[in-house]
Amino acid sequence: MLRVMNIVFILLLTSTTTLAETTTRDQGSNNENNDTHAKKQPKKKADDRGFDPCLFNASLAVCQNNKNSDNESSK
Amino acid sequence: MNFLIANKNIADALKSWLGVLTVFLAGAYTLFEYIEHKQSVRVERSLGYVEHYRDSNTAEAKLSLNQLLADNQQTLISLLNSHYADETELNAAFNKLILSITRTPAVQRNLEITFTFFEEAAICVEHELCDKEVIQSFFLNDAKSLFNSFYPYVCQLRKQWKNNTVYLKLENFYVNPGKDICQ
Repeated sequence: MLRVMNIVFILLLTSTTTLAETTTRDQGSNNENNDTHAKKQPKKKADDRGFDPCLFNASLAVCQNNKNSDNESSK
Repeated sequence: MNFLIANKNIADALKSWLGVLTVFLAGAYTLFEYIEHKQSVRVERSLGYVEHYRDSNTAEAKLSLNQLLADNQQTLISLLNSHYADETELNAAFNKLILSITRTPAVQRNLEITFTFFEEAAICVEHELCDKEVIQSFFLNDAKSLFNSFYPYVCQLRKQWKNNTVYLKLENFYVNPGKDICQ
């Protein structure tokens, strides 16, 4: 009985530690993402993409697909 | 005496339930660890692509293509800002300009290196070997703008080789599956 309880205790302890590690890691990556986002915000969309003909004229054949993808992602 | 027997019965029942709980927890923990491990392997593999993109000849090829666009920027912008009777005329003029600046073997080689790299990363995600979020955060902007700029060249290749699947995975992953861009 005592042995079983010991096993359960060890398992619970290990799971809690792993969960804590994962949460810390996720929080870290979220903070990094927020920092990157904050740095990027002042830039224009054109700066992020490099030269993109669709930013000058959306009537090109390839830009019709881009517009569809932008609409879908905003939904 | 009855009290002791009852206690023993409770202890026995508790023992069985704890056994079941242990097995369940162990299974859940193993599954959790497996999923975590799989995810971290995917992320590591994706970051391998990022390193390769920055250090290898792919970086040089991409820089050359950006330089090519910068050299022709004024012509491209004035073409795109001009007024055309309809979209067909605009597309024809854009196709002609892009095909003229991509006619040299060096540019074609750089396009092949860059587009093949982007397509390989897309295939890696398709087979769930790489992490989609990581690949898209690092390559989406570059791949999309380069594909949008040089798509007439891709269309020319598809036409020449009679193969509509040339760089199709790249197009589907980074741009978006939609109508045929080479019509």
